[in-house]
Amino acid sequence: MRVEDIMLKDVTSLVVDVTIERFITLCERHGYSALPIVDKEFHLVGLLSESMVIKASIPGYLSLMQSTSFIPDSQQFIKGLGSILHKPVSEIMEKNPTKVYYDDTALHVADVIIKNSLKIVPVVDYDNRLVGIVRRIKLLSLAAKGILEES
Amino acid sequence: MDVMTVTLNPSLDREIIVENFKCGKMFRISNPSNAFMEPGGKGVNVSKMLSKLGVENMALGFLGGFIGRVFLEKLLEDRNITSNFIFVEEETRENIAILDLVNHTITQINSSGPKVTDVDIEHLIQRYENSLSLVEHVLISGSVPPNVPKDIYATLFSLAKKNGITTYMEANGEHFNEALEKSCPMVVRVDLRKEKKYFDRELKELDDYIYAAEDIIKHGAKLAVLSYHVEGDIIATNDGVWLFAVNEKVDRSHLFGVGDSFMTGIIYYILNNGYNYLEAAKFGMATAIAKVHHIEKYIESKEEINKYLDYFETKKVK
Repeated sequence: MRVEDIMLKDVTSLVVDVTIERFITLCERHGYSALPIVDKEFHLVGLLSESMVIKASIPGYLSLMQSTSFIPDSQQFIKGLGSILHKPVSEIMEKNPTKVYYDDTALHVADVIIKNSLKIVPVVDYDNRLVGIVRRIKLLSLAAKGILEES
Repeated sequence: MDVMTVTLNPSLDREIIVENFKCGKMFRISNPSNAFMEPGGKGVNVSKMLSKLGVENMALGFLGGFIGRVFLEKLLEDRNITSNFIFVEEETRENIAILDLVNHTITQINSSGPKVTDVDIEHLIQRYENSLSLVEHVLISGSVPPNVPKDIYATLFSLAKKNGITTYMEANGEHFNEALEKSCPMVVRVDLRKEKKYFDRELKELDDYIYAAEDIIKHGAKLAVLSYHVEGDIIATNDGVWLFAVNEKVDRSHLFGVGDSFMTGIIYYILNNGYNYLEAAKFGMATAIAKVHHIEKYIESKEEINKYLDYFETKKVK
């Protein structure tokens, strides 16, 4: 089984100069927890997730820690978020996001998702253009049904 | 991927079959196949038909709310269609049809679709522009949401033309007129289902239809198509005007989706055989007739369409 067999053929994405506020609005409307960022020709140039927004909203020394459970109080977070809302997504996005190719095996993408604890992985063609996404829930469901290891 | 379809106001189409349907009564659906839903809207319909014919394509437009997410999930089941939608705040519209097969009635309830904001429109135009680098043919079809500027189709077509893309439109109304005048697409079919009108001119006699078809060509189109009453279609290219007359009486109730089939046929022909517009129109006509005759929802092969190429006569009328 290949990535293209299990990916969502959905190329919902943002360009680099869209604001973080707009990112939050669209994720909520769409029900996604992260969105790929593309250039004018649909080349993948980044990924922004909810957790990256949270990290960027708290003071720098805290974001160095592995876990965000150390945040002293949510007031700090809310203030921090307010100060980045109008910044472009390019400022806080992951510029070298984990990605997979459409003809990688499904097992490979399972590996990638589990090892990096990701919820969404962008799928690209050999031109680095976005062609879809793989969601973690889809992998879980395939694995639970025992479909994943059959190649 | 070769084709992108644009549907600014898609709908979730729901069909419920109820025997002896009456207002003010309660009915239970015991057989799940008597209630089904699927993504609809003119551009999306073309995407689905192209997909059945094996053409990978992309569908772009606005979706919103709970209905929008249901729509998207259903559409993503189609492995030949890549979804490319902008989510807006309000709900995507629903077209609900209650079919009574005993008394032969259809009861319809259609909602009007979401309001979209300027930010959403800007976002759609920008996403559309980026997507142009992925395709060679763009179809824009159907109505537009209430508060979208009337030059939206003109804007979208002019961007496509700048990229050397082959453009197709099936619509009518203000946004259709603006597109024709400011950035005329190469293939134009006038949607006459609501009103038999081209700009302000009522279409009654054959001459009215010929006038409209020729006028579309004058605006720069390579192919113009207008359905002419039930019995046929008026076709114009740079070489003249034709009447394609169907050899048989067509059951009016089967005309649902004929325009979308026509456009699907034209695109499919051009993709496979190049730019012979009159031949493309003939194939479009055959696709539309095949659709009327077809019991299944979709046509799945070119051979099936070819069977209907001699179900109509082509007569040069100018």
